[in-house]
Amino acid sequence: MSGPAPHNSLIVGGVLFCWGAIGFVARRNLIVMILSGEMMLQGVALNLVAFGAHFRSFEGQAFIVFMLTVAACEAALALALILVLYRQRRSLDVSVWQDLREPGLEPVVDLEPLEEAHPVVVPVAYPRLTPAGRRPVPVPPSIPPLPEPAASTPTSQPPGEEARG
Amino acid sequence: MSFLLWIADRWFFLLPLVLGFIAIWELLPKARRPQTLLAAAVGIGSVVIAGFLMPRFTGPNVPLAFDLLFCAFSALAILAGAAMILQTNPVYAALWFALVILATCGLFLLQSAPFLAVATITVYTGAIIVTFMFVIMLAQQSGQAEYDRRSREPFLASLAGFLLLGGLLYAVEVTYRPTSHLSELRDRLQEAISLLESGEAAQIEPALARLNVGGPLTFTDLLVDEARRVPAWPLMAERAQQAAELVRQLQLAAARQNAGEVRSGAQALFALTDEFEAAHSQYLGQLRIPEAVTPHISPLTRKHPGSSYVTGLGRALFGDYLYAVELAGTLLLMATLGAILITRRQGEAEA
Repeated sequence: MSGPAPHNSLIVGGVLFCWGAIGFVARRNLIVMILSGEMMLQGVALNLVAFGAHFRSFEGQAFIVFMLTVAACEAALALALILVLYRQRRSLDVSVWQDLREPGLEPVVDLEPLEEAHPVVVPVAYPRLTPAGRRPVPVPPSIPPLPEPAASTPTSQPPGEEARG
Repeated sequence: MSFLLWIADRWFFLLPLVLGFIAIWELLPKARRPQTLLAAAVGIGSVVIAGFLMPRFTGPNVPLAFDLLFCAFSALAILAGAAMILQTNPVYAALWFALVILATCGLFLLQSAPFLAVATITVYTGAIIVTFMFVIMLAQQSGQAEYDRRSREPFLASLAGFLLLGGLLYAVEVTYRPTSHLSELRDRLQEAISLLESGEAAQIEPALARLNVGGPLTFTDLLVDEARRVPAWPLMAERAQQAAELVRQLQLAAARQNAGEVRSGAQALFALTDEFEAAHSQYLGQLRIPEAVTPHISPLTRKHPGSSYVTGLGRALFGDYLYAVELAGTLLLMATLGAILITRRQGEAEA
């Protein structure tokens, strides 16, 4: 019983890293961008495991434990930031934040219209949790527009109060 | 011309790279409707071609099942990763990412890292993906949003990504390409020896022509390169010098028109390449992982030789890296606090 040579894993790790890089640069959905970043981390983890096995030490694997920690922290903070950004503009598009770009750069505008033949997926209804103490409402056939956060909680209401009422 | 030769020498990794680039560029979401089937076929084909063409470097005595499992997990990881960045629906993208994680965990298992495989599955597919799903469900608008069906500069992005990939692959190839010119050198030596079999002085010229001594890239240089190709070979410098010396003697013998001397010189060189080959295969054999990974990091770890895998990893983590583990724990706590604080609404902060 023997293991693979590290080079093969280096190649696979490099491919995953580059996929992540392409996704991070090209995609516009904030969540997909963060997922691509996580995939880059996964490619690096593969390299660390391969080198750790090559040099027969636990250091590579110990590093991955720390990498997992940092990845978890990063995911938590990134998702929190995404939620805050989403609340402000109601969109996961990074391009709505392009007024943060460097001075002197032209704004990116979508000139080319989307082709009609592109398949448009019909809206899917997502299940919603009914607050405790209320009668469940049947799911409507299509998603109702999301209520504005300011409208749903007009006054500063403690989160527990809604469930009690 | 030399550039064309360079490309011809490396077509086996340039071809899949170019095909993959075309597939990724075509399939990245864009306003124009892509040739989905054709591009997907090209992409899968490039992965298959890469699997067959790329030097596998596995060395001798690797079980077939191992090779097959490695190929299966690698192909799964690469294809699922590509599907993730090409997917227009973020929910499916997260699921493809979970598949990438599972495939890499399979690769971890193959490289004797079972604890990490389980930990990664727990942390990523158990926690991170679920959190992502929550956020997607929370923020997803009905149907596919327009920004999911466009990407920024798909051509430039995939070009940059594949240039990076090409650089990485080139680095791996230069470092670990095992065969190089050794077999060709040996063939030429063999030919020269058989030419000199008769012992006629007239055969010296064609025999030397086989060895290309004195050409732009001399035989000596190639031999010395071969000796240096095995890193950490203790005899490396000595053998390289020996090879250069043998070639010099060969030239002197040729100048004296002594066919017998030239022939014995060539045979000595051939014997030397035997040693090179043995060093190569030994090096390739060393690259494979032994049956049990024995911990040898710190005195603390070394005190317990032969301890099992998880014991060794635990000793490494809580012995050598204890401070780092404490720091990581603190970092997690701070990140949790930070995430809660960031997502609080303005009104709640005062309440």
